[in-house]
Amino acid sequence: MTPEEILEIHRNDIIEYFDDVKEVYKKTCSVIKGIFLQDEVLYHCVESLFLDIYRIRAFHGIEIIDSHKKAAFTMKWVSKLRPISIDKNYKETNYAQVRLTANDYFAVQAGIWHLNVDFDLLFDCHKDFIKNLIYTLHNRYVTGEILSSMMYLIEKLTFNETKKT
Amino acid sequence: MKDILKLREKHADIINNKNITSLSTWTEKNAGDEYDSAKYLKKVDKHGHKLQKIFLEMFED
Repeated sequence: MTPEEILEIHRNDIIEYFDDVKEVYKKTCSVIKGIFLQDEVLYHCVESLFLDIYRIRAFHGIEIIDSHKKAAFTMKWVSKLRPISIDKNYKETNYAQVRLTANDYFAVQAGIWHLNVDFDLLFDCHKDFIKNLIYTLHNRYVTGEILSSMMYLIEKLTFNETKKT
Repeated sequence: MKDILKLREKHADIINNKNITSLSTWTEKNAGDEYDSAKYLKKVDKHGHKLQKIFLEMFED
């Protein structure tokens, strides 16, 4: 199948997911001043992750895709294609680092909600994991498969911790 | 060896789209893994601010 054919099959899901991720941007990134979202690039991110997921299914013989892969491939493509840009007219020089890592933060915001975890536990007890994830997306090259494995482990970790309490 | 051959056969079928019951499995049910737009956005509303706080903390001295 050609990429165009694969995308056509997923068109409705792609449009719905694009709208949802854009909504995540509005809800969680508006606090960062001096940035804006490029819809066209975000749409490209969503198409790319659907293509990636389709190829992974075909290669590994996966019938149904699981939540940690959805989370991982969303993070991979948002941090790779960087749909958030810095507004050149924004004069404030403070908090430049916040703007420079906005895409990696947005990548985590867009992807993490696929996971089936106790988010209170994750954000209260594993802040360093989240910080490290944003740092890694910004400074390291990570594949979707490696990220997927990280997401799987965090699901298992928080699941086991929830059972203990 | 038989298992490997079976797996190879399965891969070939999937690549040729013979064995995929649904090509788009994004919203297909898989023990809680299916994508549900309302559920996804509800999680953002409930917990998004906590993640935002952690991100902003990274730049505080």
